[in-house]
Amino acid sequence: MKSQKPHIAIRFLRLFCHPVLLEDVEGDVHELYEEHLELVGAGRAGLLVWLEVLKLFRPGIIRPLGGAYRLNNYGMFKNHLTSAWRNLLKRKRFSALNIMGLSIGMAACFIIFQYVKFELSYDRFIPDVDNVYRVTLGIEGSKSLGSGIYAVNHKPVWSAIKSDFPEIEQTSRILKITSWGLTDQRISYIPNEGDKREISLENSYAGDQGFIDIFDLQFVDGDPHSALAGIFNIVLSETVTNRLFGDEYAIGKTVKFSHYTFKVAGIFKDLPANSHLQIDCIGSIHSTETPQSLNDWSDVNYYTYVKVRPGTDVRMLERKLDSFVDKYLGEAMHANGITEHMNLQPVSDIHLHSHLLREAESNGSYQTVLFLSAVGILILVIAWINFINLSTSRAFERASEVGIRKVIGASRGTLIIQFFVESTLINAVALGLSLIWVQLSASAFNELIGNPVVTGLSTYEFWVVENNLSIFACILTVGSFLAGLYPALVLSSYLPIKVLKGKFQASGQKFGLRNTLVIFQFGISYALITGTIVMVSQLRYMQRQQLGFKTNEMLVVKAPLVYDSLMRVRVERFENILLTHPNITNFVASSDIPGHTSETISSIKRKEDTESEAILSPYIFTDDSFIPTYQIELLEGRNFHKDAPADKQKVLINEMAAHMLGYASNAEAIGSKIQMKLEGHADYEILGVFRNVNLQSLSQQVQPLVLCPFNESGWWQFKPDYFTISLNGDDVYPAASSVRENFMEIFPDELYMEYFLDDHFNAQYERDKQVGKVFGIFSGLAILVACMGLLGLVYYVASTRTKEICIRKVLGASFGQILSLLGRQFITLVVVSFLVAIPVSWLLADNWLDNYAFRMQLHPWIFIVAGAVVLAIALLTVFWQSWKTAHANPVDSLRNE
Amino acid sequence: MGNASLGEFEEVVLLTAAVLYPEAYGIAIKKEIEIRLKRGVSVGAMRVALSRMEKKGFLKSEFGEATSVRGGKRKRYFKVTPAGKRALEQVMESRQLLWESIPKMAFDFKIT
Repeated sequence: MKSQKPHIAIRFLRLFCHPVLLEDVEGDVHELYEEHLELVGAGRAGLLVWLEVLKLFRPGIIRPLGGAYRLNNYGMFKNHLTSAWRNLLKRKRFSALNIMGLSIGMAACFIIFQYVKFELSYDRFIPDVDNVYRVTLGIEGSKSLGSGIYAVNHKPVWSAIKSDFPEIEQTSRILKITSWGLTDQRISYIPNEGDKREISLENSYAGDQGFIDIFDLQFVDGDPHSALAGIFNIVLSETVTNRLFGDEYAIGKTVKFSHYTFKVAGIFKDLPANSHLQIDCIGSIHSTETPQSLNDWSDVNYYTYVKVRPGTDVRMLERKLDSFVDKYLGEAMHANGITEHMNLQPVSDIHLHSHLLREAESNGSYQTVLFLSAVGILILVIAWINFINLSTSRAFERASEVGIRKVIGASRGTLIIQFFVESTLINAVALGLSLIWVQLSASAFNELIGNPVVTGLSTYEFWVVENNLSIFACILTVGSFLAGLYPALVLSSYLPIKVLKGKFQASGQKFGLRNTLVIFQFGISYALITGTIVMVSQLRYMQRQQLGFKTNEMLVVKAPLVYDSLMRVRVERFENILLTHPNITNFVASSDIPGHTSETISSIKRKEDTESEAILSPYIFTDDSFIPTYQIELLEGRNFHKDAPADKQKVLINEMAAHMLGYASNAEAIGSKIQMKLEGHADYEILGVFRNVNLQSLSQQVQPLVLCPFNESGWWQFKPDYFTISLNGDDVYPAASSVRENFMEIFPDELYMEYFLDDHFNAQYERDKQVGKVFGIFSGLAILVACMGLLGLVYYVASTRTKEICIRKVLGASFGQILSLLGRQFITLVVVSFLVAIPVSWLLADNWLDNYAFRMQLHPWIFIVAGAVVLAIALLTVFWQSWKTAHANPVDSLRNE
Repeated sequence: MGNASLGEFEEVVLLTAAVLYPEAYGIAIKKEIEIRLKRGVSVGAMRVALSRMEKKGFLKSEFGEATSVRGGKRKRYFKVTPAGKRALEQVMESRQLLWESIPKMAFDFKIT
């Protein structure tokens, strides 16, 4: 066969092959290629020849790098290292400050980087995560209400969507059983008669087989393909299994959960910490479903996930969902004056980009991640600036060295390399030190965040799986280059004649780069401190904010599931017994409670005004005890009266509802009638208007609220779901346990679940608190690093002016004068930095606060306090060094000349 | 004789070069090993072994005539040197000694 142009692989071979070997190796490869060509065809032969050439890419074949044997720069390089090392040791304190600052900066940056990486990694463990979506539900009420988007969806969506759209491969629905707050969901196992093991779960779900498939739950035991296919099957997480069963074999055993008995059909590995769902157990969802309930579109509680076929145009699919909604819900929407729409939300976006109503868990915030990344980079920048400032401030010392080197024959390039070597050395030492900081702080940081964000240095994962080595290499290279560039250019530029004649000035310009950099450093520190103060005070503001009802010493108990007239008698007995207890002041049964994500919403309309727009409002069915128990202030009208049957057709509304219904004043609302779409457009008369209460977290707006009385027919439909018991006294726990005992006695078949209302409310702020702490720690570090740089600068100025200062002292200068001599310049810089930073941090803080419906005002004192803190720390730094200089014995430095 | 030791692969390559003499060049040795020992050999691995043994003095090589089949490249023919032969013999002897000193019992497998 004629050989035309040589194969590209062979040309690659020529690039790297050792010239001595090239001829026959190339011949060999060529021969092989031609042989393959005949046997298997051009395509495969090309592949094979590539493989062969790639295997040739190995030591022994590769040519030596050009001139490796002639590298007589080695000696010079060694000399650079030696002189860099000597320079480090010569000014120990200087170097220590430099390295310390850099290492703290690197460690902080690295830890934040890990945190960011963790936040971004959410749900990536799901196979084909890019094809997995959650179907969200947007409900739009009237103009006045705006819109709400829910993470949950109508119950039948999972099956309808699958049968309507062929591009959807798989669907799943899960239902979070544990109402949040009611932490006492228990699962129990009875190994033998009289022995009962019971544990409480926090994240229990009912789900279907599709969920296991889509999320690819890793089964430790049991059959992952059919675990939830049968009814009354349950799969447990490994942790739950170990807690419940110990060493016992769990598969096939029966457990009691909620009101049912389940068979354990599988055990799955706990979901990773970076999953938007944490799951303790999943019971098979169709255990209690009937054909009717399967088609119940009014049931909006189900997280619905779909997996689309690869290559599906999701935007297109989303557009088709409009007609889907119309097909199944059009009638209902029309009847209720609601519009709904559905969207497909990528599952990997849930953690950082989704803050819908009724999320399964509180999600992270992308903004926080951005903020923290910025903080991490800024700390590192501050540390690099230290390096630049400290290096250039020593220019005077180094100048004669540079001069001599140049006279001997060093070129500028050589000197630049020398300074780069120096900066690399310092950066490398700092990097080594930063690893120690990371190791020491890893567990504390993980604990603060509540997730395993930073793994220990000694683990395999740390170096190999997470690829941290390249991050360190990156920090080192970028740092050595960026921080080393300016000093290298400046220091290498000196003219030997000038320098050696002694006519060299330490810093020529009055307002040089160094000052700008100091201003920048302190500006950043100032902004970070302000940010921390704003965060903490906003949090305090929200917690102190009046919710409008009593939250402390309020015990909430889940009411019995089944309700009938007999049960009503028992509830009354329960109430009467409890109220005899000296520490129990009030008792109320209600269909919902404030603080619970109230999703029982009804459309309300003024009756006499047919033109007026309907509004959507949450409602709570309760009785006359609600207002006194929750200590809600009635602004107008009166409460329900217990013994007035006419009150059964009257409601109480809050100010917001009155306002939205269009009443000019609260008083005007009293006595007018409204229609509620509850039991076939029943009319209710407004009996009273009460002060607004914040049903949910203060990051959300006040909602309207309607309190309706239980009535005979309503008693069935709207049964009490919760009992709220108001306790008093120093120690509420005995009273709480008395509630528990009585509940168990009166409702022996029921599960007892309780929580304190204030615990529940405070839990909402946990995440904000955590972020505030993290932010605070890192702003502290930023200012620490900045001050290290300041300390170095002051120290340097002091040390070059020691003699001047001593002579001034001998001549009678006071400490104050010396302090002002040394510190005035720096303190001025710090103050200037405030002027630059105040507008920027004001804007940022204002922007951040806009996330909260209840935001505090940005008072000037925040900025004054932050300024005072930064200034105090800077002053202290300057003061410390000045004090040492001013109190040195003049004789020590003046005697040798 | 520290550097006179032979690795297992080197031994195979050296033996094959001896078998193929005087036609022992890269691809021929590679194919021979692949056929006789039923194992895949990459050009790279073989070439490195050949160079290493040449350095140790077990092999000598010289270029043949240029032909048209190999893109005009000459073949490098290898020839086992006396030192190479000695090394091979030494390996065989030491193996032999080991074989002879195996007690009978060691191979007295029972098939049950």
